[in-house]
Amino acid sequence: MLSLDDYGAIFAVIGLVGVLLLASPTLGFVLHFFGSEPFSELYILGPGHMAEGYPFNVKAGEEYGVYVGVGNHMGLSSYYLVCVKFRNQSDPLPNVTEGSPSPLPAIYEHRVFVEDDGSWETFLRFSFSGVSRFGNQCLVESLTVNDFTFTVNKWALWDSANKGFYYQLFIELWIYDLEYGGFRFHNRFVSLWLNMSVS
Amino acid sequence: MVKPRHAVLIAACAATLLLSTVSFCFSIDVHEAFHDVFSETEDAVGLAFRAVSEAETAGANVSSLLFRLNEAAGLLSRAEMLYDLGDHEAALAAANRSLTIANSVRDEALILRRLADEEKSRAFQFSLAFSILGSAAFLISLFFVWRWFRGFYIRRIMNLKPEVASNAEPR
Repeated sequence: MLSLDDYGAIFAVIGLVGVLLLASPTLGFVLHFFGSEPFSELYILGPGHMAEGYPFNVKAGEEYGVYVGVGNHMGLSSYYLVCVKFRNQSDPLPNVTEGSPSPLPAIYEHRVFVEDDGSWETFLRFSFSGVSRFGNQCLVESLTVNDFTFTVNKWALWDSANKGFYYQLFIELWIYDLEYGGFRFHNRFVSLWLNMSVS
Repeated sequence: MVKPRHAVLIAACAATLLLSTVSFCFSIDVHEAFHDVFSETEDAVGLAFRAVSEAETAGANVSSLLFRLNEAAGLLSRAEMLYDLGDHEAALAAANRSLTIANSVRDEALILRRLADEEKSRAFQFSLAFSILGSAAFLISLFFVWRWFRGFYIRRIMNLKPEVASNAEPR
């Protein structure tokens, strides 16, 4: 049989737990527990909305498309800048280790606000024009993205190992930093290798 | 004396020069106007986003504001691309429309934030009152239960009869 002191301790514990339970709505206003680590997603899908069937062998005058999406898990709504850039094999890519973007200019960009735990997706259509070959070099004069045509004048050398003129369409994700008051590279990019056919 | 043929040539040159100057000045004006509006719009969209974030942190539902901000952001991107492609008038119009939307969203976000803060303050006061009164009522009830239990326990102990074994061996 328990002693009176033991019962006293049990009543004290019941009292403490009860007070904590009754105070929990108020404590919820004061205490903020850390959630999971915030992050953003950036993805690219083929025209069938699957991770397959990506455009690879491309030529002038044909239209190609991919889905580009952004997922927000930052804990709050975020303001993103999606930059589409175009490079040849020697142009620099973003440096993920240093967290620096590619110095190449964006040929197309999309600003978008995404709610927390929400996502945004768009279908990116692109085509090339003014593609010509000069010996072992290929020139792409212009690139059209979602009906906007941009002059790129990008040269590529013949890649004898992979047998083709290779270009890369890549997409960088930038995020608006409220403290900085502007966009910062979010250290995420996705890319698409393109083998340019010259007819 | 200037010959009539030369006079016509000089006049044509002067007219061309004048037109070029006017065109150049106009072009600078358009560039400057666009850059001013674009910069102002970028700032306005950033400020609107800040206001929306603060409203969201205060607990307001900002879905509709984000929808409109997306419209403003889309117009801003479009303005920049149209400008790069040389369609300055359309670019300026898109930037101006984006600016109007961003300013309107910021104003609404500030109101929403104020309302959310007031609502949060009311909810906090209600929770605090509930916690204090509820805890007090619970502790007082528990005290009375404890007093009853203590009496019950003591009475039970007092009513117990000691069991004595008469033939027990002393230890």
